[in-house]
Amino acid sequence: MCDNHEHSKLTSNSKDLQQVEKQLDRRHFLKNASLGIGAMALGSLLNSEKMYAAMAGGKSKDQAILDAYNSSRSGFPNHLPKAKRIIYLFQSGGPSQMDLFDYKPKLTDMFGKELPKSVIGGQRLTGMSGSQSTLPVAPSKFSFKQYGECRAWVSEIMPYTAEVVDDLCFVKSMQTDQINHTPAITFMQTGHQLPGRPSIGSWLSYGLGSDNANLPTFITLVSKNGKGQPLKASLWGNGFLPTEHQGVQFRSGKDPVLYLSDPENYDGHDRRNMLDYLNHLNDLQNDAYGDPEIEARMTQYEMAFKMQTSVPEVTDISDEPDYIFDLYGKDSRDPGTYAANCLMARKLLEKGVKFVQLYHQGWDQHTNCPGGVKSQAQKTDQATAALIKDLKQRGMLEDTLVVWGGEFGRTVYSQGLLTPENYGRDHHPKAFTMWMAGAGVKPGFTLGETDDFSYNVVRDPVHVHDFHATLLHLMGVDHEKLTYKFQGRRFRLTDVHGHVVKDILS
Amino acid sequence: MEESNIILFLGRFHPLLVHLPIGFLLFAAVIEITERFKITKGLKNAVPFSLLLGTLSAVAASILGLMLATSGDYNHEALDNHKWAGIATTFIALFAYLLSLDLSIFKAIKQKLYLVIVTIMVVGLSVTGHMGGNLTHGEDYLTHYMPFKKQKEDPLKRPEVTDIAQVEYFADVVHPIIKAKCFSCHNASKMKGQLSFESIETYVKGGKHGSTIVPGDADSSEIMVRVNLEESDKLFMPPKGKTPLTDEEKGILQAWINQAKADYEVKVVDIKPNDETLALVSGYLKLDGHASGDMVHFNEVSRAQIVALQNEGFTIRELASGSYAYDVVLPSGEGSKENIKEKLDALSKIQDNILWLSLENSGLSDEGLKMISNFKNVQLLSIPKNDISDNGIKALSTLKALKSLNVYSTNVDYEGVSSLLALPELKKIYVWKTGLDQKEITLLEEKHSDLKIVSGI
Repeated sequence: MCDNHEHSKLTSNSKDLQQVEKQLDRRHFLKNASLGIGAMALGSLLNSEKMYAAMAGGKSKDQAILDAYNSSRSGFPNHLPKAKRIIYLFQSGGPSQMDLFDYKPKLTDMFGKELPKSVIGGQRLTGMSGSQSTLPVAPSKFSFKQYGECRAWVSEIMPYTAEVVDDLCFVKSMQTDQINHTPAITFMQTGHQLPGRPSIGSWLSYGLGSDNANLPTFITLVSKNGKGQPLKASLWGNGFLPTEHQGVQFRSGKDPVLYLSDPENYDGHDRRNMLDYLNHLNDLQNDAYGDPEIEARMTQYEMAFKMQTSVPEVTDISDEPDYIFDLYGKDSRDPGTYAANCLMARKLLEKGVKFVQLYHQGWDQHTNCPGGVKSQAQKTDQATAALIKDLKQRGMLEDTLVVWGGEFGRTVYSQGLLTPENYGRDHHPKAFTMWMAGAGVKPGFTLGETDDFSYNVVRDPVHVHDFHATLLHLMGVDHEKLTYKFQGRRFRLTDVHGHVVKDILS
Repeated sequence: MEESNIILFLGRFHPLLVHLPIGFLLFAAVIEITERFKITKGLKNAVPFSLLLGTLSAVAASILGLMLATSGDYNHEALDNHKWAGIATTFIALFAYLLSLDLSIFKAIKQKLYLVIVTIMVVGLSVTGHMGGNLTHGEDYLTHYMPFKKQKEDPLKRPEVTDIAQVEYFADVVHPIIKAKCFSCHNASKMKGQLSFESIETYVKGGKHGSTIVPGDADSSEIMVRVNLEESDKLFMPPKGKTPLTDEEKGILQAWINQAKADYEVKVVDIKPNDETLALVSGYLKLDGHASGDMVHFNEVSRAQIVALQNEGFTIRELASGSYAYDVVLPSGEGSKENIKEKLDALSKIQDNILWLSLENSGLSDEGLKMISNFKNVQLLSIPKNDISDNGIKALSTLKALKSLNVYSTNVDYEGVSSLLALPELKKIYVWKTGLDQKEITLLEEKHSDLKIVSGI
């Protein structure tokens, strides 16, 4: 259709318009030739030609797209990685560590007693429980047992996770700086409490690039059967990194990615032509303005084109055998649930997606903690364990890292009325539990310890920054070297902090 | 990852441009001298113009210098001195120019001051220039080849190392750290605390406390005690104003004393270092790519070779930048019975560079496994969902580096897996949906306690 325009300058047939174009050219020349701007424009000009140059060099189109995407990737990984991909099961809301994994038997005798001031240590509590006249100790209502060869303690409400403890590496000494949801989640995902920094997955996409021209490097899934504090796109946003590194959210429902299917009465037969022509137009714009967003958009159009076939294929879980659905639980047949998302995440990882960020909301038990935690566990426990087992039997746990955890922990004291049957728990940033499993971390291992109240960390504290540094380390990236200069300063995921937690590395 | 930076780009013209003020201003001074001694005649008129050009170019050079300084690559103190000397010289040059103009307001002071100012200007110019030279080329650049210089050869000096296998722990790692951080006070001529790090003998002898280095016991070694004190402590080393040791350097010294028993000859690899020590050492020596303890060396692979393989459908990822060690994946379904031999042929051109290899559902057969048996550096081999059997698996017993083997959903059975048990590094075999049953798995695991055989649900 537009073959005659390919690689030639786009010009008009009308004489008058040609005249105007000439004038524009001269103005252009003067603008670009002026000091500084000329030099900068030259840089971006070379960049935009990269893709076509690569294709001319004998590469396939896919490879050329990948190379354009990966152009920022030089010098990474810094060392041989242990993990090839990550799936992060984010338990949003702040799961109650002492009702799930952090077993505190001594609390039973302290039921209803005032939490000692020495334990709180002058910490400022939230406005939700800080004004309570009493802070009574609320021991967990659930019974704990030891499981596996590693004898890890797990609560009765996590029977499936209990089966896989020998594959898990618990960190019971997590600490964060933030006490409320939005800053805490933002902190956990981007290393800073204010929105605007790139998410972990974006940093990895930027540093390590993509190996797959058909699917995004960084995909986000939010389960539909968890309700709670809202999540927002900045959590998987690219911040100041080039736009193509942002996480792509797969929605729960009929269309995981909106607008991928062809509109009515159009079969898409000439879309390739259309895109090629559009690329050409965008290239002209890019020559004129050198705006990196134009390049990002071109990369994204190509990706979307690929996703028209790859996404329906990967999100279709109908060909999974029954025993797999049985493994993940009955929810897994209902698209958009946590269980179905876990299953889909496995498929995405199999297809070469580097970072899958899964969110499940609803772990925010200010009131009715026992009931709430139990219902949350019912929605997630089986599928979480199933994912571990499934990855393991496919040999994928060898090079996949699984991360489970929320943005903070919960208080040992009851928020609101404490009864033998019921209690609530407030946010607690000073100690919480996470676990990892798979590539590069010790299986059946527990790092860190909290005091008898699960309130303060007494051994091997791991700060959020340390956690980030460790994640990057496992992917072969030195967290001090992965930087991006923005507004005059070089930024890192770990800012100016973070130490790799060597004790958990296998 | 370097972005373009117009400030630094321009800044780097500073070393070029500084020669203009040096030339112009010195030229003015030279004319003043030659005119005074009547060696030349009539050049006096050129002096104000020359001073003006010198001043203007000095201003430009100063601005570029300030731009260059934003890189932060220079020693702070030395940079500060050079900066202020340069700025001062610029102002002095300006003053000299104004004086040279015979302006009426300076009439009273011109006679007395002019020559003094020009002299100060020349001195300032020389000092600034020298300091700038030191910044660029290093302190000893100028005097390096000076004849009759007192030769100070370091008896422990070693040629630069490029290969972790060759690194001598003491001479290549420990001594350079000491040299950089401790030597200025603890050398043969300035033996503070009667301690010198001049030679191995003086290392062994230690300082006045005697126990400077206690082999095998870093905690009682005075050197470790002192560098690990609080920085505010009076006894902290290096003393206030000197650069303290970094955590990495402390770790290196600690491992040398504890793990290498403070041996002065031992090679790093001979002490069987753990990953952490190895990472510290290779990090310190900037031996990139081999930081995680894999001491395999890989031949260079050309970009064209990689592109050719990518066009065959392989996904190829360099495991560490510049390592030429690769993770190769043939996406599930890309290969088939018909084309897999061809693809493996292509792949065999980089066979020694492959560390991770995945050929899921690729039409791989026992014959193909024979080709893979030559991929001697493969550590993770994932070949599930293929029509392969014990006969083919047996060929893999040549893969001495193999750590993990994934053969789920294949016809592999007890016999094939047992033929691999002798592989020294093998830790995991994934055998879901194969012929092995739980009894056989238990039997195999008992024979081989390091090995985990993973079956399915």
